[in-house]
Amino acid sequence: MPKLFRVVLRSALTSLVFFYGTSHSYGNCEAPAYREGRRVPNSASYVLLNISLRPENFAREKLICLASVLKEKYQGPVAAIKIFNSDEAALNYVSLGNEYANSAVLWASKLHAIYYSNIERHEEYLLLIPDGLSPSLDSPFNTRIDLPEKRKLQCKLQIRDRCLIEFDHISASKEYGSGAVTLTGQIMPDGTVSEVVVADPDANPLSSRIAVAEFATRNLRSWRFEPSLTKDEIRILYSVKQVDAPFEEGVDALALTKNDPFLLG
Amino acid sequence: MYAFTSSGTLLWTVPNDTPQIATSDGGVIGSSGVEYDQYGNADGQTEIPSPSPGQSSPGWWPNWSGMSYSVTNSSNVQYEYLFSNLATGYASVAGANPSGTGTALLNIETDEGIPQWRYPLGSRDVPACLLVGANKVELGLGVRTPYNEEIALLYEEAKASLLSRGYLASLGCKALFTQNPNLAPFFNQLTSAISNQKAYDGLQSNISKYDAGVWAQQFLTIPGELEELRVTPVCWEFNRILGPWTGILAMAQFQPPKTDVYIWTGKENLSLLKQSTLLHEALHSLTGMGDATLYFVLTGKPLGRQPTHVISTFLANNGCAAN
Repeated sequence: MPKLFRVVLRSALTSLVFFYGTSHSYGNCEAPAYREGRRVPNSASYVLLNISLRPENFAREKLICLASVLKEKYQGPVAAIKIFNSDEAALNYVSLGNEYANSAVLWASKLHAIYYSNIERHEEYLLLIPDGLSPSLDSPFNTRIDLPEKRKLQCKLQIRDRCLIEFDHISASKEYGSGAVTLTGQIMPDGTVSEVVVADPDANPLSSRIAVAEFATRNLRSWRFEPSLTKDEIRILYSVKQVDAPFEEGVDALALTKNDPFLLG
Repeated sequence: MYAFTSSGTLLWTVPNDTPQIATSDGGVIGSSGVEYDQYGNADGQTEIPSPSPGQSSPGWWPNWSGMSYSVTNSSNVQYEYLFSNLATGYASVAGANPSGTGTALLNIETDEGIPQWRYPLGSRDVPACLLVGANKVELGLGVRTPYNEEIALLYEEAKASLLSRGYLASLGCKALFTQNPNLAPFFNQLTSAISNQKAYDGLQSNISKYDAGVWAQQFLTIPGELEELRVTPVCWEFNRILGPWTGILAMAQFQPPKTDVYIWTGKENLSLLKQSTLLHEALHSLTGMGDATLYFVLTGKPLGRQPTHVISTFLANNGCAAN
């Protein structure tokens, strides 16, 4: 049983503070401004489009409101609209597929949500994708929000009701070894994580201590949560374990808070 | 016959003749067999073969190799030929191409008298790739593009060498595979995978990626991926409408029969297509692993943002193919 860490739980934050650019009023909500990127041609019956938002606009309420705008604007039997946090990625992204150019990985990593509707199958949902390189419906990181959303939803990965919106893909060489490290930091109002510090530097054997701590620290610094009015302190046990399975990329990372176990990859 | 300048001004006319073949010296050969210079002056007369009794003269017609031919006896299908030295450009023959189908093809140059035909040029000088179709063009066939025939030869040479020179059974390659539990089951299948591999011209194949089977099952769980596979032609991977070629050298078939591979027939593959490329693609089909997973299984390291031909290099460095 891993050591549990004290996490100060706060009430849910339901209001968001940052708005940029031209937003769209829709019903009772304010959808964030977005920019169109690449659209797949040849698709008379499909709307296959990339769009981009500013990073601070990745939040449940805003995305749900944006979905209403997208539904109204891009009508078709099937719409799959990929939502990036980078204009350049939205312009250049193509599905990675089995084989891809090296630049494609960078664009794919900026994908953090998909709006999908299929009239024939009566499906309409948003998929929140913290790891852009794991965009499938069955990824353990991704949160599907069926629309219209009827209840207060939880993200699969969240701390104090702040959904984890973004983190770097977990992938490491086998030489990294395994181990665990406790990290502390702060989730800033804009959702980024700062002041990341290793709290228990002697937790692992010397052979893996530095590598595991570096790996975990670097990864935690890549996390971005939903914006909030407050700073939230976090204390996380970050566990790295080597795996040797043909369709894994060599490492499982498990981040634990008091109430929220994160399986990262 | 009317000749115009490039700005549309009438240059000269010749009555009772029809242009058939534009020649590299700026002149033209009429259906009468008369050769005209760039000013419309008759400066030669090709000898039109005598038609059979009762048949009108068919005149000269161009063929794809830059010769002109005339049917001397249609019932016995006999021909005579002459070299024409076709002009370069989009309008070197009547009917827009030697088959007279109306599709304008560019003759980029003559190579010792042999024209090189291409579709209208895009940003990468490759055939247009706009819509999903049903074409799977075997490597080396289809329209002649600047490098497709050379790359077809390279492919065939690489395949023959890989199969005949013992690389796949070498000690180094055997060790690489058999000492890795994730790869060991595939070692004995390498030779048959290469033998059965069928190469297609990636630039000329407009079959959809879905129908080509170049996708893995797990992709279908990505919202919108199935739809995108259905409307995306294979050739887009090599010649994108909205951007340049992004560096994919070859693309393997993951779905049964798992034999096809689509090859980039651009200039870069003249140097990058190697034995190890064929093996790299065969491994995708055999294992079902994409580039990132295959590289990790082979090396124990993440592929990250490296170019994926590092997989081919790794296979060669371990003795599975020539360097």
